[in-house]
Amino acid sequence: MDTLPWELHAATALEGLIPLFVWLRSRLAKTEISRPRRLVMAWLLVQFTSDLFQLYTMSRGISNLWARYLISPTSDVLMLYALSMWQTHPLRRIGIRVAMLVLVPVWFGYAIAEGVGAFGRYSDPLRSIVILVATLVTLVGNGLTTTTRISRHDWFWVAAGVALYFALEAALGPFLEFIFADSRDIALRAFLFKARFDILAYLLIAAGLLCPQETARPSGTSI
Amino acid sequence: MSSGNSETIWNLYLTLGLAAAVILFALISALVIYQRRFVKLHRTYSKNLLSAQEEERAWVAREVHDDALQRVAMLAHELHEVADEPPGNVDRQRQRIGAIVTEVEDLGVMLRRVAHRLHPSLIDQAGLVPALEGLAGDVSRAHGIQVDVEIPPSNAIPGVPRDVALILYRIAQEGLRNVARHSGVKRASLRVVPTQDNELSLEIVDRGRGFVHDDHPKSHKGLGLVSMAERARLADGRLEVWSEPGKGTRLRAIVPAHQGEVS
Repeated sequence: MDTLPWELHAATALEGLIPLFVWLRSRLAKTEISRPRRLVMAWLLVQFTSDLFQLYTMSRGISNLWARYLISPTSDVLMLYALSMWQTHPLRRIGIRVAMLVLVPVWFGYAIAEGVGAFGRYSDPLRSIVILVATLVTLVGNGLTTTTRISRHDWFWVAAGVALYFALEAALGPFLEFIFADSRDIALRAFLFKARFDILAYLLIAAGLLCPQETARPSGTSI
Repeated sequence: MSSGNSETIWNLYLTLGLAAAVILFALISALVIYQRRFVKLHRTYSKNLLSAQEEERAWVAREVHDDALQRVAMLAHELHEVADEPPGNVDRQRQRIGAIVTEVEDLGVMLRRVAHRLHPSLIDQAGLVPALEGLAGDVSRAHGIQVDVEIPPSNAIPGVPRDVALILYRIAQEGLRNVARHSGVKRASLRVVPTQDNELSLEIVDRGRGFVHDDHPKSHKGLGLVSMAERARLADGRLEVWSEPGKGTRLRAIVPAHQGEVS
C-alpha cells in the first residue's frame, strides 16, 4: 500500500472523511441532513469501503473482482436516487428512477456476459454514461428553472462533482483498451490523472454537502 | 484493422448502444407515466373544481337566504311598523329609524363580504399590493395567524395586469387558507419579490406541520395545490412547493410581470 501514489490515498481518504465531516458538522450545528445529501454521503462511504477492500485484497493477492457485482449496483442506486430527489420536475424525477431500475439488471447482464475477469472495461462505462446523463439532466433541468443563484444549491455542486467523476470513469476503460492496450506505463498515468480529477470531484461534492440547507427541503416541486 | 481492435470497437458500440437504450427506455417510460398521472390529476381536478363551484354557489345561496333575506324581511317588517305608527312620537320614530339604519349598514357589510369573496374588488380599485396587504389582515383577524408581509411598495413592482394580479391574489388566498387549515402554527410570511427576469415571485412560508409532497394523483385529495399550480400555469408561470413533515412548507408562485391576456 505504501508504494501507491499519494493521489490514490488522497482520493480514498476524501471518500471517508467528507461524510464524517458533514455528519460532525450537522451534529455540532444541530441541523438535520437532508435525504439526498444522506444518500450522497452513503455513496461516498460505499466508495470508501470498496477502495479499502480492494487495497486490502490487492495487498494479500486475493481476487476482488466479484465485489463489483455488489458494490456497483449499490452505489449506482444510491447516486441515482439522490439525483432523482433533487429534480424540480416530476418528469425528470420519474425518468431517473426508471433508469435506475432498468440499469441494474442490464448492467448485471452485460457484466456477466463480459466475464468476471474483464475488469468491467465496458460494463462500467455503461453505468457511468447513464449516471453522467442523469447529472447533466439535473444541472440543465434544475438550472433552467431556479430563480436564485445556481451556486447556492447543493445539487449544483454535487452534480458537477459526480459528472466529472463519471465522465472520466466512462472514458477511462475504453480509452485504455482501445489506444494503449499494451502500455502499462500509460495505463498507470491515466489512472493517476483520473485520481487527481477524482479528488477535485470529491471536493466539489463536499462543497455541495456543506452548502447551507433550505429551510424546507424540496421534496418535489413545480407541479 | 486487427481483430482485437474490431472487437474493441464492437464492444464500444455495444456499450454506447446499451446506455442509449437504457436512457431512451427511461425517457419513454417517464413520459408515459407522467402523462398518465397528469391526465388522472386533471380529471380529479376538474371533478373537484365542479364540486367546489357548487359548494361556492351553495355558500352564496346560504348567506343570501339565511342571513341577507332574513334581515331584509326584518327590515320590511320594521319599516311597516314605523309606517303604521301614529304620528307624534318623534323620538321613538327616530330611535326606530336609527336601528333600521344600523341594520342596513350591517347588511351592507355582510353583502360586501360575500361580494369580496366572489371577487376582490380592491385589486381593481387599488392594485395588487393593497389587496394582498388587506388579505393578510383578513387572515390574521379570521384565523388568529400573524402574517408577516414583505411586499415592496407598489411603484417598485412593475405594472401587473389585472388578470395576473387576480391570479396572484387567489394563490395567496389559497396558500394562506392552507396555512390556517393544515400548518398548525400561528405565524406565516407572505412575500412578493420582482425577479431579475421581469417576473413576480409570490412566496408563502410557514414552519408548521409540512407534508410529504408527491406528484402522484392519489396524494392530491383536495383542490388547493393543484388549483394554485393551475392558476400559475394560466399566467404562464409555475408553482414550486417545498415541504417536509415537521419542517414546514414553502410555496412559490412565479409569473411574468408584464403580460397581456391570460392564456
